[in-house]
Amino acid sequence: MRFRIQMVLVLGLLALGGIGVRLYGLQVVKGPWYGELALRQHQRAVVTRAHRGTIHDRNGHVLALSVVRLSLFANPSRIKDPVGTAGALGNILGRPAAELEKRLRRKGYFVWLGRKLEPTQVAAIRALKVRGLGFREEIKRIYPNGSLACHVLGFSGTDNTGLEGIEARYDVALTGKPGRYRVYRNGRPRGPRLRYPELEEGRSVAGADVVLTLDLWMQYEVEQALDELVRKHAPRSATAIVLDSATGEVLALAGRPGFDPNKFSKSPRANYRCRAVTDTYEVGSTIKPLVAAAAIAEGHAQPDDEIFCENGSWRIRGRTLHDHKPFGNLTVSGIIEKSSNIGIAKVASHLGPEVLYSYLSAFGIGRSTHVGLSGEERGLMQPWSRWTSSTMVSIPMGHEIALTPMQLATAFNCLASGGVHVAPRILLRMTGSAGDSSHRFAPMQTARVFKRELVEKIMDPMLCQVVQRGTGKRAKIEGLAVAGKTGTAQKIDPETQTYSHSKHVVSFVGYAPADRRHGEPKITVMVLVDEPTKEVGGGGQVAAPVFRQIVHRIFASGRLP
Amino acid sequence: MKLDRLDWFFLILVFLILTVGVVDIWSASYQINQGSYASYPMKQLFWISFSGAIFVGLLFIPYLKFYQRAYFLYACGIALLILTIVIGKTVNGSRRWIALGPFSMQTSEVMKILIVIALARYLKDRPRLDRWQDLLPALGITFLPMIIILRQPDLGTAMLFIPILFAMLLAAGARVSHLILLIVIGINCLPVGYFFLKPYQKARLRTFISLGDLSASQRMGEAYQAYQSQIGVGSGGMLGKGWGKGTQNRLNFVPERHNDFIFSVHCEEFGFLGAMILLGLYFLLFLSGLSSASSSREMFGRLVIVGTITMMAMQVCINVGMTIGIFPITGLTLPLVSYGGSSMVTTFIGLSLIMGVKMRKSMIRSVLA
Repeated sequence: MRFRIQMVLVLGLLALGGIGVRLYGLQVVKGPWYGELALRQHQRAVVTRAHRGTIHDRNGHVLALSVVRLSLFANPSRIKDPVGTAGALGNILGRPAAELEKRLRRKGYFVWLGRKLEPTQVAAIRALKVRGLGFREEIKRIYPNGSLACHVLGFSGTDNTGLEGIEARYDVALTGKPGRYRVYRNGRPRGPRLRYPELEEGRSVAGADVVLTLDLWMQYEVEQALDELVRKHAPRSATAIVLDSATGEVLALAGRPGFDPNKFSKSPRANYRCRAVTDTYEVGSTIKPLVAAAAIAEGHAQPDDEIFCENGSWRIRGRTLHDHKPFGNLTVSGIIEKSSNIGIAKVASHLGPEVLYSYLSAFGIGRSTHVGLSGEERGLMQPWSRWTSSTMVSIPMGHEIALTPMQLATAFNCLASGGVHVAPRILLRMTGSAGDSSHRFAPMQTARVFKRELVEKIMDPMLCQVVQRGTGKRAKIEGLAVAGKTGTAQKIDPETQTYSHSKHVVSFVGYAPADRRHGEPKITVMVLVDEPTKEVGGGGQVAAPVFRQIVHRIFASGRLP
Repeated sequence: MKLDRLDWFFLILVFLILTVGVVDIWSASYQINQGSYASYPMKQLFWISFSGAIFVGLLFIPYLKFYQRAYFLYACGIALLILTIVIGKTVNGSRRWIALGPFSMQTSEVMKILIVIALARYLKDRPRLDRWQDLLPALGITFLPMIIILRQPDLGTAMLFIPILFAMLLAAGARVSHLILLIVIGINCLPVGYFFLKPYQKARLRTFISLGDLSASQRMGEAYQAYQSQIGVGSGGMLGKGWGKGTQNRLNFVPERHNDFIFSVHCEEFGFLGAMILLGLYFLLFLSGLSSASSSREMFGRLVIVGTITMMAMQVCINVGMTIGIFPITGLTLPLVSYGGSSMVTTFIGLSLIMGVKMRKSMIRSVLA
């Protein structure tokens, strides 16, 4: 009998042994693996977004800011009356009730009904006291000035990442550093999540505030002037830039067509483009003063040298140049004043390609200005070694090279600044603890191109003449010395591949005050209009009045940098 | 008549296992939603005292009285089971409980002990078990309550009767060839039995078979308990996460953790070492019981011990087996450790019977002499 009981014992021992082996396998051999499984199902990393930085103009006015808004969601399984709820919400949200009802009838526990609502809407929805609705905090980006400076600011999307403009260019800095912490998840489906402070991995670091060089008030004036231009001439597009002549800071930058960054999705994508840096144009005659200055600086010409302008038609190197009206003998100043193509071609002919190229490069043509806007184009200028025989004729009159409006303004600013190339910039400074520090307090970058005397003694008077007597008369302002130059460039017709007689890019670039005895020029202004369709005219008719309006308003207000 | 001394070693083992149980239940009673502890540990202490009183009371009854009343008690048990089917309260789709005022009693728990007593009586009365006919009444005694309990349904408890029967037949001296034949027949009946299972029981069986590679939906569905329990056990590692620090336990991932799955909590918080210590305590307890069975000269007492020990040991194996994924999930508790009154009372009755036999060895000897 004892043996029988021992058998029972042995069976028990075997069972215990089996359990022991299994336990060893589970806990010791595969223990770490199961530990990982447990960890993965009960711990979640939660990311907290940092506060997105604010964008200011140079005087501290807010251009873009983030605010907390509530978004409405529903738990469809708890909505008792989808029809009634959808109707009531439709009225408050201003959306079709049928669409809301469809969402409320979905299976599941979560649907968005409205994102980033206004406080009044939230109050109205709360007053409905419908079970199954809830709010969640979200960050909304607000552009208090609407479409003002839209091409500079760009916008950030629903998820608060910058998609265009400054918002995209400095997205990393504006975004800041997201915080991460862990929560313990409860095993029950709808149990609470517990935040364990000791597991916190890092607090979020608020995004940097960005201060732009823009002056909100000047920006407003520039936008007004462009609106007027659009009403009058209905161009394809238009761009205006105001630079601080001494520092290269962009005081205003506006473009048409524009958009409202608060409702960016309502505008076509093409309107988002900041044409001041993304589009290139053959700018035409506005380049002439720069070429003339180079020729004078190199000693190939004097302002009073008389040059025969062939009475409006000149065959050279297999092609015929034309002037907009026939000229006989003109001085170099006269050529600029009257904007003679034949004249400037002759003035430039003594400069070799290499020298002309090096001057154009020094003006910043053919390379990015690094102004600090996203999507910037480098423009188009062939290296001089690849120039053909006619290039030396084309470039002086603004053909065969393409510039962005920003490049044109910057190049012309070489004259306004007294012969120094100043790199333009739009970012004044960044403040805050996060962000790429390299962009903070960017130093001014300058390179001398001309002697100061050349600009002061020759170019200033020459360009003042343009405004006083020449093609730019409509830019004239009583009591203010304005220097400038018109440009009227034929566009290449995509159908015929030749220069069109009806489609033009017209421009005016200038600076004021151009009378250096009373101080240096304050602002350089560039206005470029692509294809005016109403009351068509050249740079003197279409662009110069805009220039005049901008400069006049700025000087009349006394709000100079 | 002089009684032998209490077996203190046996009692200390019981005390240690109970202590482990209360410690585990304490940790498992934490309610994360409320951030507080449920009253399980205190209730468990009450049930331990209550069962302890029964334990002491039963010690005063000479166990041969149970021999005399064995069939009567068995009949009472069957009546209770039938009553449960009629007036029992339904919990989670099965009818296992009779309401007794504020408490409820799981009648099949009591039946386990009564079957042991009835079988012991029958096998003692029939000293020769050479023929098939001798075995048939024993089978009948076992299968009648089994069938009723299967109707509740309570597969786990019902299946527990088979090893009890087997072990008692073995100890009583049945022919080994007969026993092997019984096993073969039993195994062949298994596929047929599958068709009588409830859907949830089939699901548990499927889960058990395929635990190695479960789909994600199974893990969240029918295999959830088994899967979470295994994660709990496995993530405990060698030394455990420490008392009160089991994430599977405290964060509510393991269902029924104070009850059927208390061993998972134990393994998670005390690791492989803690698990082996608890199993070691059980082993010593059962060894101590069986040793007095083999030294007892009286057949009824010996068989009662073998039956009771087998019952508890099987419960340990099945309960532990299901927490670690080597046995399908059944509602069987871990004796002396799981929270719950019925199981505690039954276990203590069994322990009291064992102790009663231990204490009366010399008395029986004197009677025989």
